[in-house]
Amino acid sequence: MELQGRLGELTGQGLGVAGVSYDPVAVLADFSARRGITFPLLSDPGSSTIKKYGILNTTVPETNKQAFGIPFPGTFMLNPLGIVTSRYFEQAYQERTTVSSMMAMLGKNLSVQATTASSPQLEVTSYATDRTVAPGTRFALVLDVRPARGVHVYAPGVAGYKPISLSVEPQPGVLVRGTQYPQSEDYHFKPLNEHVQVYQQPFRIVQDVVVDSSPQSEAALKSLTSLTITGALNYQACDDQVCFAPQVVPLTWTVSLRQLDRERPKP
Amino acid sequence: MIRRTNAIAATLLTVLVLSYLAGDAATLASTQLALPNVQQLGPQVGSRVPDFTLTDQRGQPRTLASLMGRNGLMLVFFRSADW
Repeated sequence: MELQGRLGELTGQGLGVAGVSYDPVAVLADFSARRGITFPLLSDPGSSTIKKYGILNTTVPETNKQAFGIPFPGTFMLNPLGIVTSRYFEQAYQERTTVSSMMAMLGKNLSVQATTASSPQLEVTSYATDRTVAPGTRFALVLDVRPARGVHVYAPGVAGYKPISLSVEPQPGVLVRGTQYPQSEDYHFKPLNEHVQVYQQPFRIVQDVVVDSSPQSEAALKSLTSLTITGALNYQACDDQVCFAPQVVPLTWTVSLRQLDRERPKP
Repeated sequence: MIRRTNAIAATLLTVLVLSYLAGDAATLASTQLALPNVQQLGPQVGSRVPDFTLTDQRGQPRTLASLMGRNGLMLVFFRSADW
């Protein structure tokens, strides 16, 4: 379980971690032993808590003895008062958001292998949140961008300059979802008395991607043991004197691909 | 004559495949319709989640308070450990 692999990083940041399912305690005990799970897995008999939370999977008929009672899988991030600060739920049941990509979206640092590209104006560190993915894995491509001292780049939506934008090449088997850009800041360019939204402090761009689990994509992925995703970061950087020529930084992410885990508990 | 039969067979096969695909698409569309928007289900950002007392894999009763870390809690609802 991927969560267990990130447990130290999560608890190190003061977060408690717990899982909830409708499984009996004995099943959870067996699962924990087999997978080396050390954080609490909670048994919700009759799915009463799942129902209380309003996330019971209502598309499963009550006549389906095995599956009735499952939730729509998802994660709540709670503050110490028990208030939801963010939540991650999948529309498609085949999809699973990785813990690492949630951490990336929350702005946490991950211990991962990254590559760094430098230009005179910008240092771009890029990585995939997960080393290994499978059909249905929803992970993220991350860019940690550090503008050089006195340099700014333009936020999405800015007109008159080339705003920063991450593009990912479409390819079979990979669904490219939304791009998360952080909050930008106002920059006052005095000579023109111009206000414009920029980034001048280190910031992070997170690209949400999913390994397509549809039957159509199965053929495209079947023979692969890794996925290489390519893209580019486009931007224009300026300081208080000059604007530099727009730049294109080519980007590549490679992740291992495994086929779906069909492991069953031993009887 | 043999060629002609092959052509007919090929046409029939195409029709069969197409009707199969159409049926598949229709099934998919009806499945999609039955799915609620999961983003709108359950406690939303800014609201407090219900408390509970549930037994963990070691047989210990746990509540939100007993699971909570210094900076909060990651509460994961998963499908099942059994399948």
